[in-house]
Amino acid sequence: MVGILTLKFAPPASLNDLEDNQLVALARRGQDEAFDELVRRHSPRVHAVCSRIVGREEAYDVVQDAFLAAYRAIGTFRQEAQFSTWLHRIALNCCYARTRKHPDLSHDIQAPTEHPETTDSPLEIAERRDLRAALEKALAKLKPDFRETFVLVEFGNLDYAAAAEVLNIEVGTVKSRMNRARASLREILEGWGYAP
Amino acid sequence: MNHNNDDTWADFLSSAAQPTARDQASTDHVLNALRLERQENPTWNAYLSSGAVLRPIDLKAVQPTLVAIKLERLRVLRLNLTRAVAGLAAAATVAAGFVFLNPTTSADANEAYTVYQEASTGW
Repeated sequence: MVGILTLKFAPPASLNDLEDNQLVALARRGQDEAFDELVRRHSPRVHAVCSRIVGREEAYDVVQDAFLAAYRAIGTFRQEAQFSTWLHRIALNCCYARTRKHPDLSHDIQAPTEHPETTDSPLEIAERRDLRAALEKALAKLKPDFRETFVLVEFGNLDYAAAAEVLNIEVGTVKSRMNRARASLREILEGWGYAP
Repeated sequence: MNHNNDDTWADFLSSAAQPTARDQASTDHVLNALRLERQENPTWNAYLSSGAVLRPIDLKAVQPTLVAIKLERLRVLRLNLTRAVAGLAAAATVAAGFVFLNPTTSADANEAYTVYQEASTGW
């Protein structure tokens, strides 16, 4: 009885309590706030990926294009894939379109100077900021295929299956690229004096 | 290179590969762009977002033949042109063809919107 009453008078779930697929369903019915919640949830990761492919300045425009394209096409999204997978696929296409137009962009990847919000000590923050800057520089030295795969998995937080879907390659190829990307990054960073 | 060491390095790299404050800031940039988009093209966007088929009543003012002619230009958008025949009901079907479009580029979306606008105003 108590359970029933609790259910009956439970407040409606706020948008940020909903799963992606529930937000997509609402967005498809025209609820713009639901799509906005998807933007808040995914844009930092998508931007993190795009800025490592087209450079941090161009990334703002590319991410904007990607979300506008997703917004316009949400009615045709059949949810056969995860929303984040579909979104990263669109974002990657926007990156490709931008680099085709401006081939020198992929060489313009710079190390960001800021760091994630954290409660760590100043020394830990400084160390991580230094490592982050080094990682950005090392990433720029990777072959594009390896860099793309690494940033989708590590910055985009996609699992191997999702990354394979985004890149339209086999999961085994993702694993292989990740191993080689990590090995290359390790070699570069060790050469610069970094170690875990 | 042993596996434990590989795992340590994998964790080390993952710890450094996190979105930054700059990445977080892109959210406002996107939300502003969406607000503008909704203000500029409310009908078109509501239609595209819904994924629904346009109802005949939405096309009362449309001149079907002109729609058919205009739709010739949409070949690039892979519209099924066999549907492009005269008649209001047919025009509704043709317009419903937009549902199958997936304007993932702004050029496609702009082209489709132009046709929709011109058709809706009688061209």
